[in-house]
Amino acid sequence: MKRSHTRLAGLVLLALTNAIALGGALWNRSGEPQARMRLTERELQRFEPWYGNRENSGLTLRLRWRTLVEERTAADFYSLRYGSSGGAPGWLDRAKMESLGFDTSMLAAYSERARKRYEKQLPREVLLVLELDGAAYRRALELTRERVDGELAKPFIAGDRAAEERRKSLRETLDWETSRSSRLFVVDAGTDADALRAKYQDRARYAIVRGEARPWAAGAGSGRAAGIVDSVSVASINVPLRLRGVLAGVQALDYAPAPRTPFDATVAWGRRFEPWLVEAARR
Amino acid sequence: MSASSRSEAQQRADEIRAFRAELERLEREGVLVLAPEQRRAVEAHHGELLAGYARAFDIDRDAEAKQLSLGMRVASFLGALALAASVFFLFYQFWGLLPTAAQVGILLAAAFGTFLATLLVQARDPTGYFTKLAAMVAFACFVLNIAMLGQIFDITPSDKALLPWAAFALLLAYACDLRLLLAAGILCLIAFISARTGTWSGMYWLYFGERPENFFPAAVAMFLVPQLVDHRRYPGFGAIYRVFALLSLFLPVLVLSNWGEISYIDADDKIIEGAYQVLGFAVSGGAVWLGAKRHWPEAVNTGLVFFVVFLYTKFYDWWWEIMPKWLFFLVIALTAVLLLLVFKRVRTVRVGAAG
Repeated sequence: MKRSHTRLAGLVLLALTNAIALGGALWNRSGEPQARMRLTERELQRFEPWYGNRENSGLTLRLRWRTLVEERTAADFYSLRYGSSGGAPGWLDRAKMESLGFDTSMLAAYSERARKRYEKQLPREVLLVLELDGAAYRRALELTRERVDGELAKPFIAGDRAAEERRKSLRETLDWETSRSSRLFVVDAGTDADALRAKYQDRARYAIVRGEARPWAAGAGSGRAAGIVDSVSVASINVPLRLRGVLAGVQALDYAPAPRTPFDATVAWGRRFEPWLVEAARR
Repeated sequence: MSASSRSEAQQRADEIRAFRAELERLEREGVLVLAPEQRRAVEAHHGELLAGYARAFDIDRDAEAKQLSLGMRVASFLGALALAASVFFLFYQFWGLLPTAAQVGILLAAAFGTFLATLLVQARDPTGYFTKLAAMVAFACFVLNIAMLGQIFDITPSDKALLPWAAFALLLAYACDLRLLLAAGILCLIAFISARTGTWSGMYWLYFGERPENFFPAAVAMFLVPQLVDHRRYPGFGAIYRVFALLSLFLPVLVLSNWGEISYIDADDKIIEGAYQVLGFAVSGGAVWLGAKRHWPEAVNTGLVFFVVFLYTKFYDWWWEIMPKWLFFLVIALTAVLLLLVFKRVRTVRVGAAG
């Protein structure tokens, strides 16, 4: 290969690839954002750099999203404060999974083999609807309050240290859900962005994002198919230099007992459902 | 014959050296004696060729120089990897302290600058060692360029990024005769083809590794490249394609022969594992046969290694728990002896047939 040909081919390749990447980013941020949410330290958490990457000077915020699982197990209940996300929400039923492209026919007659075949299907990319401080969060709060009130109403022997610790932990869990847990819930999924936007029109409360769902046959033996919201494709949001001063000091660990640094941050999602940080300020 | 690359020139120089040694031996044994004018003509021709190669490619002219070259190759390989890692961590250390425009500017300047610098170094470096260093840094800068743009602008991860990375690595590999960059390009291509294969079933591309069968089309494609594209000007390139093709075939088969549940095939796990075990023996044996037939030592060696791995994996499954350890290892040793006898026999038959 002649050197001039190599140079030309290389330069064209570099220029074209960068043009596509930068053009895509510009296209995403052009025009009116498809959603613009005012989030707080409850929904955005500083990303903790992994051990070998401590020299990374970049600052990234992690979007803390959740799903509403009505039949919450005891383990899930006590892990609330650890910011767990994902899970199998009630709305991700068999009909919804079929609409997302998953084959649920094998579950017509439920068996262990049918469950394995169903769950063998790998995650698919879908569009997820994020709801901020809406009905899903209110329901989650209500469920926690019911559970805590029910537990606290049970008789206990004064001086029983284990019982007292447990009651203290229950109150902390309710406090956590009331004032510290994320209010951002995945409330729906689909493959048609226009149809989802028509259903969820409030752009300050609902954002459409890319994510993945995977099959999960809930309740072995019941034959009910369901899915799990596996992840949100872009859950890490880069902090540009102009906002670094505001967000550099916020805590990375969300389950630390110390009070968190309060802040408000506006996040927008563009034409390609990719987010960016618009502004941020300490409260 | 004019050589177009250092490896081609080195191969010809080695052949000339071997020819001279053999000619000297034949003359000593009285089998062949060249007339003085013939000898002079051959020596002049070879001398001219070697001098030309030395000027253009700085080839190794004797065994000592060749040994030193091996050390230099190892040093340049390690240096290339370390320099690429250094560039990566250097950017990571400071990028957060720069405004977005400066971040993008530095990434673009690094990608374009190191590419042009590689071409400049190549024009002034007949040995190729410094070109390898520069090319590896250029590739690392391009990977960093696209990966960091994704991070700066919160772009959704895409398998499509693998394609320009593969194209860039292959461009540098072919332009600068660099096997390290060829391997990098092939790896990117294998990942891209496997991810695309996975998405045909509807899955999200990042999960392509969870179904090892996704690698099979990539294995076939890599195997066919040196068959369909003439690589005589690039010694060793065809072998690298074949090695990666065989690895893309054997490793998934090895995984599936032990974990049938992650196969696409809708059947009992034990049946899937059994089928892939049989396939493993068949394709590794086939690779040895084909490699011996087509004079591809890399195919023979890779096939042999995996044939033995498949065999020992089965031995472990069958006998590790039930046999005393001394007997288990004795069986393995006897199997190795048996394999030696089989290959000796095959070799004798082949030599006889050739004779």
